Amino acid sequence: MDENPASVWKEWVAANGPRLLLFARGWSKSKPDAEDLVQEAILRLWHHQAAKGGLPPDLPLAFSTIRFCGLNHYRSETRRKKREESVVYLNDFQDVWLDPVLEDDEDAALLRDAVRQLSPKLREVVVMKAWGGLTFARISESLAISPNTAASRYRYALEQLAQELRRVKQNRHASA
Amino acid sequence: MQAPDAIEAALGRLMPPGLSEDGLGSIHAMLDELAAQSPAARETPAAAAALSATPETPSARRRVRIPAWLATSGIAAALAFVATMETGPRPDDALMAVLEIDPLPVLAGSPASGLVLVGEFDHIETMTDEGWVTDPDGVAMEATRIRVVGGTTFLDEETGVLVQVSEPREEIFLTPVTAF
Repeated sequence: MDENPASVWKEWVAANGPRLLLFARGWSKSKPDAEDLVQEAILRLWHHQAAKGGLPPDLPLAFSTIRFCGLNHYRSETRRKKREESVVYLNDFQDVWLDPVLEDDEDAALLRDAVRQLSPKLREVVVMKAWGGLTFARISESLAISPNTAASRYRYALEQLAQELRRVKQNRHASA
Repeated sequence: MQAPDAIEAALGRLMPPGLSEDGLGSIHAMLDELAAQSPAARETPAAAAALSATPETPSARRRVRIPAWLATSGIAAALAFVATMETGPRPDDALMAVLEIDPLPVLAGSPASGLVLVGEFDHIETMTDEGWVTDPDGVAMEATRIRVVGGTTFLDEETGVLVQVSEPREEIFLTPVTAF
């Protein structure tokens, strides 16, 4: 590889960083934690890809690595801090993790909140499909589920999002 | 914006936020460092000089001696684990390769005898969706059963035998169900 590998990877991070960060956000308590998770995954992927020419990986492997790094992180944190507790809250978000393109677009803001409230299993499929641009086949590889399950979760998530938006709008009309 | 198709189109209008300057800078610095440590970089005199000035990480200097009885029990535990390993579904091999913790390098000038810690690992063997359960407070939770194998690898410098002590365990993660 003639080109500096660091430059190739930096270009890859520039192109995919936001979608990786968004996915990592589902496994982190804050944006800085999510960035740490992305960095840890990139480090592992760098060593893994070294034997394959040193090029950046494809997105499904990157998503999978972030997912398992996130899971490992929660396992170690849980063991260290709360050995007696068996509940891990993976979706205790405090900050905004998805920015609407148009700040004044009410629908976009509602949709952002609705995506945030999806269950982790549904949200990760939506993130991979909508912002990762992956097919259901590749999502299934990444999450170790069947393509049909991935498609079902995506459809179910869209239905839930539509239902939630409908509910919020009806409440607003009723109170207006 | 109520039909799923319309929702899908609206999702496309949302853009995930980018990495912060600090986060991106940290990743770039890491990539530069990794590139400098790559075999290709070592061939250039400037890179070699830079690398030779790089201090060893604390983990690379870690060395632990363990008594013979522990080594014996470790071998027994490893053999027992291999004999009882289940052949259940495994996550993707490529991912498992990524998640393996890189073994620590064995340093020159090790003691002439005894066992030297050469690596640690901790990886997920299987992950199974256990469906919904109810916690003691009556809250619906999603249960995920995870089979994890953690362990340590030692080198017996006298015989050259690698001893791997494995500790399989199962964990169950409960995630609150927020949508029905």
